[in-house]
Amino acid sequence: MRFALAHKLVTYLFAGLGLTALMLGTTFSPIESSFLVVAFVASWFAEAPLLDRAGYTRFWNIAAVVVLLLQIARGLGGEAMLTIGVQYAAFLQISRLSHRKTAADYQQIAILGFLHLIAGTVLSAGLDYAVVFFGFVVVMPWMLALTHIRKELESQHGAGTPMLRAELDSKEFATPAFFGGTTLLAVPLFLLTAAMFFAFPRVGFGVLSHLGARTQSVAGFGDAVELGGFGTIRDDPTVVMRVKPANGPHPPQQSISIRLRGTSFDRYSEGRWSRTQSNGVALKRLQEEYIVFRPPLPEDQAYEIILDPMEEAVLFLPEGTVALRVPPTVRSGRDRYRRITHAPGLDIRYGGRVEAPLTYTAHVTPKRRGFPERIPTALRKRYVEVPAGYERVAALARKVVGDATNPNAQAQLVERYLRGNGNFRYTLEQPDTEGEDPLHVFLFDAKAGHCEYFSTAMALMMRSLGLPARNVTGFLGADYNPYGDYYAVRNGHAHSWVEVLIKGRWITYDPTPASGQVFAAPSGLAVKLRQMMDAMRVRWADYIVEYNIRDQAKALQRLSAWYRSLRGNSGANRQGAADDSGDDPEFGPIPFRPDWRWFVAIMSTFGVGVLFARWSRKRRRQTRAGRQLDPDRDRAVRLYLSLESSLRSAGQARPPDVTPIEHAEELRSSGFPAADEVREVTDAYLAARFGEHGLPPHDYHRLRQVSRTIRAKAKRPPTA
Amino acid sequence: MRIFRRRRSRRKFRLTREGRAFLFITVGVGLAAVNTANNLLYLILGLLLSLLLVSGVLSDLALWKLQIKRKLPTRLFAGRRSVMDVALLNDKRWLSSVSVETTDELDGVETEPARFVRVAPGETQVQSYRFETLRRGIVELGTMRVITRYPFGLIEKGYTIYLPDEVIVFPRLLDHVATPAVRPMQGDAAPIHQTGRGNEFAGSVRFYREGDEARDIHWKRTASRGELVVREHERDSNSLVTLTVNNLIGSNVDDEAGWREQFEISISEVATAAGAYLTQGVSVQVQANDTVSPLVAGGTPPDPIWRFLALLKPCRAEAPRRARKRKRRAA
Repeated sequence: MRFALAHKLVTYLFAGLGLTALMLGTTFSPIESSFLVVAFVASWFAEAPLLDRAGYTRFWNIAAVVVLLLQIARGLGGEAMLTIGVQYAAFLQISRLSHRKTAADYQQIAILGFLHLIAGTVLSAGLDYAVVFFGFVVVMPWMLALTHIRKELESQHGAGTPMLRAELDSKEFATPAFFGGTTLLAVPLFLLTAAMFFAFPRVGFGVLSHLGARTQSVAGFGDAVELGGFGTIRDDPTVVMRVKPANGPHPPQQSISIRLRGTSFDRYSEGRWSRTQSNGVALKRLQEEYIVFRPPLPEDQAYEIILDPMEEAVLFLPEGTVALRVPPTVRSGRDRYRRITHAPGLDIRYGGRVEAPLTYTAHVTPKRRGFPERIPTALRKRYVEVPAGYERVAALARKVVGDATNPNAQAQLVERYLRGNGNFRYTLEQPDTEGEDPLHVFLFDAKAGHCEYFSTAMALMMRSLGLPARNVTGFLGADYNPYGDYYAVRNGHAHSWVEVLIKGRWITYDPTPASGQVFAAPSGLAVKLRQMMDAMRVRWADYIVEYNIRDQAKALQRLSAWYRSLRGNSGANRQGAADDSGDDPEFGPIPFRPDWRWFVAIMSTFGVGVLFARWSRKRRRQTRAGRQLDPDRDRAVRLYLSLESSLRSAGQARPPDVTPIEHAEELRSSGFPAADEVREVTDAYLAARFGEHGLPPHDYHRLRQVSRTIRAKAKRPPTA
Repeated sequence: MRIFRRRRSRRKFRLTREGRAFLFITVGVGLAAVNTANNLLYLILGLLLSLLLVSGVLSDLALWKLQIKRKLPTRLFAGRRSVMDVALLNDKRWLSSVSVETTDELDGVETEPARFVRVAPGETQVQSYRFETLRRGIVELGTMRVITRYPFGLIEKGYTIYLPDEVIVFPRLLDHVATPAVRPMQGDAAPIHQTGRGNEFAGSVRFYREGDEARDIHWKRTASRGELVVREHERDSNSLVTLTVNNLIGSNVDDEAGWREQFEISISEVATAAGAYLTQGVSVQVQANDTVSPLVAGGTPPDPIWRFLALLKPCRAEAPRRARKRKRRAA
């Protein structure tokens, strides 16, 4: 590849990665991002003679000043400084790309790209940033090396000279060997980077820290939810949280029907559920355990939950959660515990910013009978409130429960009615309400809907019977991810159900038909890829983004324990080390089981590839040298190339200005041990190549053998 | 000469301007990482430091197994820019040596660098640098610095090797000097002349020297020898001129610096005249106060004369002994 083209490609790759790092955050709207991409692509076509025009450069210089003033004005107008800064940084890169001429311009592009990467650290901490970062690890050596060579060429020949142009057009520098070699540099770079990353002492102060991760929006956990307003999210494969049961089923099931409760709503009005506003009270904390109902007991089951940052700071808890364990964040070497609040409606939320998925553990009692919950008097009234105009719903409720007076029996009858007896069916299509109340349409006309309709109907029916009920939103079900060894909860698992207060305890009822609750775990290549990506995201967050001085100390302990065990210390010590490390849920072994077959297969493929590349290169060289020759002469050329290769190995390469016969003579006069063999092969080559003598195959093979022995003979020490 | 085997080699390590900027950014990222406790900044800090480390190792690889040789120019004149060739052999088997620079030292003064952008494995590349010596005489070539900024231009790494050599710088030639006509000598005293710009080819050849005409190049022999070879021509001439140079610093010289300046000018005049006479086919000899140059036949290159003049030093008349004795008595 021509040097100029290779450098341009690498420069665009580098700058593109930098701009991508900037676009990872939320500072660019989709329109701005599109505009940036278009400008980036357009700058590719800016070439001489356009670049040499004085007016063109002046235009960009003026534009830089104008845009700067514009950004300052926006800043004064109240726009976020980060947004302004990031946008201006992107503009500068586009400007620089649009009038790149000398090595100094390329250096500036490299610096800007790198600053963009640094800026990206405060914009995103997700796996997308990891991809950009590893892209930099590969591309950075290319970029720096090529820019350096360009600078050297410019200092040797002078900028803009014909000689420099000739060098930039040459294919001598940007060879496959160059790219291969610099790509291999990524391996030591990566290893050194990883070693340094884990070794740097984490003594951060946490000032001007992260600006927070990009959050995802999932309807149903805010202050209000519109009935059918959000639409269907059943097919949304985005993973929102992962669940790791401490004593999960073995072997793991493809899916589990875990119910993760988010929040609840107490008021229904005009097709809309809302929640009574409350700041909530802080949960009591015993070390890292937050008490929801009672401290955890040994018989409780632990579920580790890894929750992606969401717009609503809701903690999703399995049914029957009695306590929580939320590890603190570490700043300046000190633990900072989060504030966890409990609002009426069992609405549990976390305080503080999240930079990465939040990991916490829920302790769940095996007795799923619910817990008595203190309900404020004002709220107690709300739980039985039925808005006006729902008399027909109340009549239906009375009709469904008939003579039953037991609240439990009444709830079961209503649940059973909605789940099947009433000929209701589950559908993802939204009923056409045509301005009517959606619940009436659902119950009396369409008789079809999704979980929100079913739970709303049951809640209002129970309330019309005088039983306190609330609509609960959360997630139901999770699919096993074999790559991360956890159960992934997708957006599509979002669900709503009902809690009815019976004898002072909230009992869960799910009126949605079974077809709306049980879904087959998705499969296929795309799903597997998604699972892999998600497992990587979790590990990235776990081992990189959330790595702190505690982990570092534990890693050091493990390392020293391992070292002691290597030195054969006492068994007690080893046991102690195992106890220190193995039982620590915080720093367990990496869930990665190396498959040596893959390793052998990859290395074998790589080895075969290298051998093939070498063979084809040799073959190409020989073919080029012996092109358009008859077979005898072709063999002669190949024979002499083989001789030259042997001589090179023996450190006696033939200089280009020495003829083969002269070289053979020089070797003889210098006392080279294999001079006779060299002469024999040279004579045969010259006779066949330029004389009338042929080189039959058997002679060719014999002489090839002779030329191969030269290397060994040259290395043999001379005998006395 | 293998750089790494030289016992007198001295390693050199320096950050370039880009390297200093890089280090500045690295320190900035480090401070930001400590300040914010943002692990991604620690990751970038690790990458930056790794790049510096890798850069240092690759610089060593670029300098590994290099052999360097100077190719001295055949003629050097004071006050005239000349070109020195430096041959660099990359004796590595697989790796190219990229971005290597050699800087020579002439009489303790560093020259311009000779730049080798890329030397493929097993190949020799010749690059040159221009230099100018201001004085005639012997110029010593001492150490040679070999540096590289490969691969990223962040670190300049190199070695100083000792490659002792010396070269004779001929006197400064003047643009014009008067050369009065000389009469041919007769008899046994006439010099024997073999070559010159005549009509007939003498059948002998010699290596090309600066100033030879291109039409005299013997291309066949040049191709076989690998160096430029020119034909010599016969010319009959028996003229001889003896040029004199006064190199005696008289005891009555007050301004020695001025005298020395004048002495250098006279040497330049004689060197120029000698060259002109020899070109005209007149044999030349130079007579100084204390020595005499070899006789150079007309038509032959003036190098022996120039070499003589290059090395000619002023001499002093012996001081009167009586004065010294008096001094001793006084003491």
